[in-house]
Amino acid sequence: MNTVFQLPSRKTSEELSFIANIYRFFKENIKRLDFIQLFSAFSLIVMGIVFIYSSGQQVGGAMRTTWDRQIVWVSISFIFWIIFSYTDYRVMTILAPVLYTVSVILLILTFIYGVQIYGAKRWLNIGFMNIQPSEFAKITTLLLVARIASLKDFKINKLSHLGVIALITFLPFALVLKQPDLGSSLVFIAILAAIVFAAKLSWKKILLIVIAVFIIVPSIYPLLKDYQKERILVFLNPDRDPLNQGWTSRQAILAVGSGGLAGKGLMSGTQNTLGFLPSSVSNSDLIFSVIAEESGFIGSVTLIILYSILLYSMLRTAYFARDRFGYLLAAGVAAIFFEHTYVNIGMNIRLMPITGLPLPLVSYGGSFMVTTMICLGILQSIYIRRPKEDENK
Amino acid sequence: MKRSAFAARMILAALILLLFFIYLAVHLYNVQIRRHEILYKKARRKYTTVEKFKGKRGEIFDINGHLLVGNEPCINIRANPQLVGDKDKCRALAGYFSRKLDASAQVIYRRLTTKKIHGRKMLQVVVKNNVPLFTARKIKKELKERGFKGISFYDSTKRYYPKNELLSNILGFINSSALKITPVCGIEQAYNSLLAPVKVQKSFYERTRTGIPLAYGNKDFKPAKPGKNIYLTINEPIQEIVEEELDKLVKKWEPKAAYAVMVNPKTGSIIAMAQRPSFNPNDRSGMKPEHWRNRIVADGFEPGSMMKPLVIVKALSIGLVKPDTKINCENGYWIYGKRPLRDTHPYGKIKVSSVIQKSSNIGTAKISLLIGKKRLYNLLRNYGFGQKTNLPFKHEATGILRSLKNWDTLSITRFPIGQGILVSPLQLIGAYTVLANEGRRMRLRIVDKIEDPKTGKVYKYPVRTADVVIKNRKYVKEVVEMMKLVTESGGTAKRAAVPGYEVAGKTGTSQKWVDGKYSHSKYFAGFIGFVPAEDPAFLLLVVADEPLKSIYGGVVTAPAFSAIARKTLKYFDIQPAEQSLSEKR
Repeated sequence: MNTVFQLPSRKTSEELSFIANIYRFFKENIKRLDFIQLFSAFSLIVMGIVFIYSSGQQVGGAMRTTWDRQIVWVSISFIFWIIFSYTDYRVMTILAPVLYTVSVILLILTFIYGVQIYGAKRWLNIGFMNIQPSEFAKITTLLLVARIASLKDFKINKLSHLGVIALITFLPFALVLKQPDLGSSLVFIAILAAIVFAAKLSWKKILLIVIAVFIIVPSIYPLLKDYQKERILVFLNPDRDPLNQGWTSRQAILAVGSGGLAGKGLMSGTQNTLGFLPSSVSNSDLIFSVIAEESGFIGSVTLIILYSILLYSMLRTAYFARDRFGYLLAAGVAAIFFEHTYVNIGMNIRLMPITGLPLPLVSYGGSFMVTTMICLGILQSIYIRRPKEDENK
Repeated sequence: MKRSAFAARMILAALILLLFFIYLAVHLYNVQIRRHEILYKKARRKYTTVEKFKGKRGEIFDINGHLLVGNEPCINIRANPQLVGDKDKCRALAGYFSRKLDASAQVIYRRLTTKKIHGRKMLQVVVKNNVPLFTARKIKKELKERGFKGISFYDSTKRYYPKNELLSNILGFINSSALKITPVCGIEQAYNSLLAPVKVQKSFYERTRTGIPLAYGNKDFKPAKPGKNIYLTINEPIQEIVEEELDKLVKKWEPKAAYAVMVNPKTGSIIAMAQRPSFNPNDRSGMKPEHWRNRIVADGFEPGSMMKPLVIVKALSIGLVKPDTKINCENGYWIYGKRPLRDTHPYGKIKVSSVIQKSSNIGTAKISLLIGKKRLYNLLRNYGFGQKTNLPFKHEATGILRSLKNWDTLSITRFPIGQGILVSPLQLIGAYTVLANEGRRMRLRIVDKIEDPKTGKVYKYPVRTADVVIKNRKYVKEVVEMMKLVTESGGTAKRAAVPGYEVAGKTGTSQKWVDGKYSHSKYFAGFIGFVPAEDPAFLLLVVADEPLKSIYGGVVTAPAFSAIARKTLKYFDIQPAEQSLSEKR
């Protein structure tokens, strides 16, 4: 009766020990975890799944079940998050050049062998699925730039040094711009800007760059593709093309505006369920319209507050980072997040032209969810490894 | 890492991002709260559609439900000049439409390029109306393939007449424009208020982007009430028989016009009604008014001898004469009221029955004198002469029956032989129901029932007796016996006989009144009769207006009567009377 069964305690496989190590790591560092990040990210993911579900409830069409696939992707991404939180981010200093090279090669392959969808070569077929190398290039570029900028004798205010990191970002930027994917390519600019800013470029130089941008950007316009020009023109005047380019923009703002204070209720947004928001993007690029329509001003502001909290946690991670690499990495990730969030929401309410940037953690999409969670994992890793209170003293 | 050195930048970044997000929130506030009403209204306009339901115009059927007038679904093609594109696009579109639709490319091009009119944006122009469904479907597909924009397709219906010329004068037709339907003549006009869809109904309903109405939330969904369907008393196969035989008659005798009316004497229902010339309502190009004038309703003619039995039956019923009473026919020449009256063939003293058989004018006039002016006038009124039949047609002729005070001395001798009195074919056949229906005049009916296609409710037009003209059936039978002789040997219309059946009938030949006097070259030739005489299945009048080659009803119209009767009896499956056959042998 009192026989005690003893479980085999021997660590029979490597795997088991790996998992056990991870378990032990989190148990030991539970108090050092960034719960603000966890809370806001989790809330955003849940919100995303709920409204992805809602966007699948369109009248007349076959019901799409992207929400369950999103759950699968979230699960997979969470594993990545755990691994990257567990892994010391400083490993990236070694991996950064390799990863960067790989992603640039992937971008070049995409440029040559890419799958063309809607006139853009953004995807690479790797047998069982299409991946979007630009997503991975964002992180790897950030890693390399942060790595270089965190080198001991790196002086941001030295023009040659600044030139190096500018060149590193310019390469993937140009490849992505060529795909063409204006929205994603601008993310590289955001990364560069964030690193340069965080690395304490002198105010004088920042001012100079800002002035330069104001001169250069309008002069780029003639070089843009026709569809990009058209998008910008339609953005400035949506009535220019009420049926095609302008359609999405008009429908989006109608969805957001008609939501009112409290929204029309889940799965009751008319713009969404009646198909006025194109079903191809209502669960990804236009998910904000669905949220705003169905949960109203309350819902959309909640979303913005959650993003603010998330970004706050990122900047806090940068603030507390143990070293410059972690500091720059966190700042860069914050920039990527901010760019995505702002441009996406902006295009839903006509602040920005339609560019096709998804909303982090909320929009439907596999590889994007994975990269997003990897970023959060890296940040968590930086935060956990922040110096202890007594270390500084 | 020296924290303080970089921390300031992060705090600054946090503040900057916060400002950006606040700006976003403010913008959202503007969009979602301040502009909510406007945007909500706009959104609602997107998913609520105001659709004008016109409802279908009622259809017209024969008594057995054969379609006589229907609606053909078709498509109206419209374009939005704001969306079709620049001039090159318009030119290409106009060229395409002109090739596909048999329309002028120039006209379409002009419409497509009319972007503004009186400073207002043109949002819709007509490309082509009433395009057949199949063609429209093809065009829609091709336009999509070619990437043309701004063309929309609207469901519509086109009036169409599946039997073409058949009954066309009675059915009439409508002129339809984009805005309204103007009934022109016939049943289409007479019953327009019933046929027309009740009202253009505006319905608001919610729909998806692709236009599917929602099952829920349709707050104001009132489908329009379609027009009523009309079932005529016309029997289409018989109508066809009549039209066919009328064509033969026209071909043979080349009259200016010809018409035939067939009535069920027991109910007054018009079984068939045909006229020549007529028209094809599906293709009205080159149509003249004389083609679509409804002669049976609107024309008056002098019935001639066809009046005689109607008068003689009265004399019998009052007891003034008996069938075998001898009447002196004065050898074909008799002066009354200082005017001579002639018979075609001279007869001496003949029986009343022979007066009808031989169609003696003098004999009839003498019998009429016995009846007297007042009784004769009342009789003619009772037959319905000088009054409308109350059939629904516009422009119905009342004929001319002078009121008693306007009668001259000759009237009493001339009216009974069908001179000086103008009747419409409808009045005449209506009067004859008295003889075919045991003294009871039936009200003519052309509409059997009205059906509401939506509710399925049916309103049946009742059978009504207009007047009991001859009270005692016995006397009517006596006249019918006399009329039987007409188609037998010695009668005026042997050619109207139908082998195996007893035909009671009467010929009529009358001079046309042209330029104030009776013409000697222009005649009406007619025959009216019913078969079988004892228990009539139908009463049929055939009239030829100005036949060439012959003028006599017994020659021109009697054969047509016989042919129609034969076929109709076969159609109604009425067996020949055995004993009458043996008698004849």
